[in-house]
Amino acid sequence: MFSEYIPSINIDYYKSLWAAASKTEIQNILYKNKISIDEFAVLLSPISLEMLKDIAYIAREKTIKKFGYNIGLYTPLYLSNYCVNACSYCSFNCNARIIRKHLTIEEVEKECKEIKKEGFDNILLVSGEDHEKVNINYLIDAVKIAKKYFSYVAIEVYPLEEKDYKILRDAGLDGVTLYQETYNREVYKIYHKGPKANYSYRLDTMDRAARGGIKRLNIASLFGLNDWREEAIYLAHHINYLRKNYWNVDLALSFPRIRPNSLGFKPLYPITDKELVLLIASFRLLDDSLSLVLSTRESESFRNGMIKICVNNISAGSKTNPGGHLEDDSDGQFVIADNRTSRQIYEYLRSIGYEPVWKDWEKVL
Amino acid sequence: MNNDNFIINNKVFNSRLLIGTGKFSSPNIMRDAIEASGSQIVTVALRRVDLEHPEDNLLNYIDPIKYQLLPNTSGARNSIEAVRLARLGRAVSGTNWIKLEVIPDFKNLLPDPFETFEAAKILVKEGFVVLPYIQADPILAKKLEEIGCATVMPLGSPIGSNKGIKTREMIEIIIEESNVPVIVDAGIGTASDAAIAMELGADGVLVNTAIATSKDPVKMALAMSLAVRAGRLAYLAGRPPYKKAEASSPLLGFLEE
Repeated sequence: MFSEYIPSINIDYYKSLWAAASKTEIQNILYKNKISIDEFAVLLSPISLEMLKDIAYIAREKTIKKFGYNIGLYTPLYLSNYCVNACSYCSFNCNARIIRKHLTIEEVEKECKEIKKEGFDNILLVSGEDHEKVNINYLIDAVKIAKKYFSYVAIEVYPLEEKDYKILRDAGLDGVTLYQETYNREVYKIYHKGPKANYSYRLDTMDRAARGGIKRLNIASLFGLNDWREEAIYLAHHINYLRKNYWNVDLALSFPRIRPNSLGFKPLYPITDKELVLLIASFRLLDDSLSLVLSTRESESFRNGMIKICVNNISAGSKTNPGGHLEDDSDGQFVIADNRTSRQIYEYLRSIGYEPVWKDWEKVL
Repeated sequence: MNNDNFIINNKVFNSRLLIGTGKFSSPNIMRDAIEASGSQIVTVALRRVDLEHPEDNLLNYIDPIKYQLLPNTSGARNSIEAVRLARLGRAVSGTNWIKLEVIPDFKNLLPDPFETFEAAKILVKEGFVVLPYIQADPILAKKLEEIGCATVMPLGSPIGSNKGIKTREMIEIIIEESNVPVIVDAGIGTASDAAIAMELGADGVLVNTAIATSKDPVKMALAMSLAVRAGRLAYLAGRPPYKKAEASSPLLGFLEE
């Protein structure tokens, strides 16, 4: 399990690498076909920001070689914003005074129909942690309903047991998205109250999902909670660990930055736009087969820019409140920064010579 | 060249270049590139066949009368998934030809020999014309031939790597031993790679990434078609030996004494 592996990662060692990096060293790394995690750490160095143009160029080349001009499109479907946790950065926090809503299975189906009309074939079912309203039986029903409409169904809910992932896989589940938020155990403690405070249990979620037969795993840190370079090193190790131990899963990486929400939370470790470009592009240099995902937390111009560099999967037409595709009578998780409809995104991708991909999966898989 | 036909499952083709349809920047560019390539066999990933979006459905850009459609099972990780996809492909495309791809490894995209073999056995029995994508493994190639595959499609180097014919030694053995057409699939990065594969005696090559992601896909498609023809002609003409034999051989000098 990854919780047993993580103590072997010495962050101070990597800090010394990015602190001592030189332009020549970085240039030499850019010539390489494959790079190690040590070299990845050098790439994250502040000096790299002065060479961002070169790094972005190589990231683009690698992305086009691997993914061509295809950009996958997906959208989230929020099942419920009830939550028993009290994470200080999240507006679904149980202490937050927001309008709560939990979709019945009939309502889930209505949302699916509405989303289907927008063109999507790839859906992410999202929920806060609430073991009564969103229990395993509810999730099974939700996955089965979604699978009637979409070829590809993933969930982003609280961590589950391996046996639950097996049951959900048999119900049609294709992917599991779960963000560690922060890999730093001490920082993690500060932000999380409730069942989510169990750091190791969350850390081993992807092991359990992979052992449960889930084919696509999507990980991330929530950028803003901790030093982004440190998180990047942990993520790189997590990716390598998952590849070595579960060689036949498909891996995706997201880059959520803390967005303004109803709580007015201010991140202690903000990451700038330039730094975020460096971070995402460096992951492309580390591993060219990773799916790199950018959600509507980011602005239209930032997403447009990153598509041309190395992002190959984006959400569109997102609503972050349960039932938001039909009515607007509950509160969302964060403010959407890119409000384009799925059709507008589609047209934009076509206009810049990219192929918007609604469907990249079959129900029989 | 007139009688040098390329025959798969009793169907005769003039062009020995097969084209893949992934990674293009638009369906129109894809269609133009296929046209320029002169190819007659076009492979399409079933998972990308999108019946709900006609404007994005790749099948709507390929004339099934002009081209032999070759649905592929990309996305399948085991024999069960591959068989399911192949059956779906037959229903959707109306052809019983199938390019069998079973790829469990998302990082290097290498084919699984065991699962490919299992799926091929089932699909041949169900009446499919099976063209399996395989590692350049001569024994596997013979076994797939024995169970009735229409061709074998060994890789030159990993899919999308553009690294050229790195498995040359094994491909030469496969070509020498095979009774079914050998199509080199994957790894062809530019025209000279395609020519090398054909000079080795491959019956055909399949190209996708090198065309789709070049700056001018239509021009690259034409280049590939010329390279395939040039390589084939060179193969038929027979390569002259590397070195002239020496006038007098010291080894046989004693015979003249």
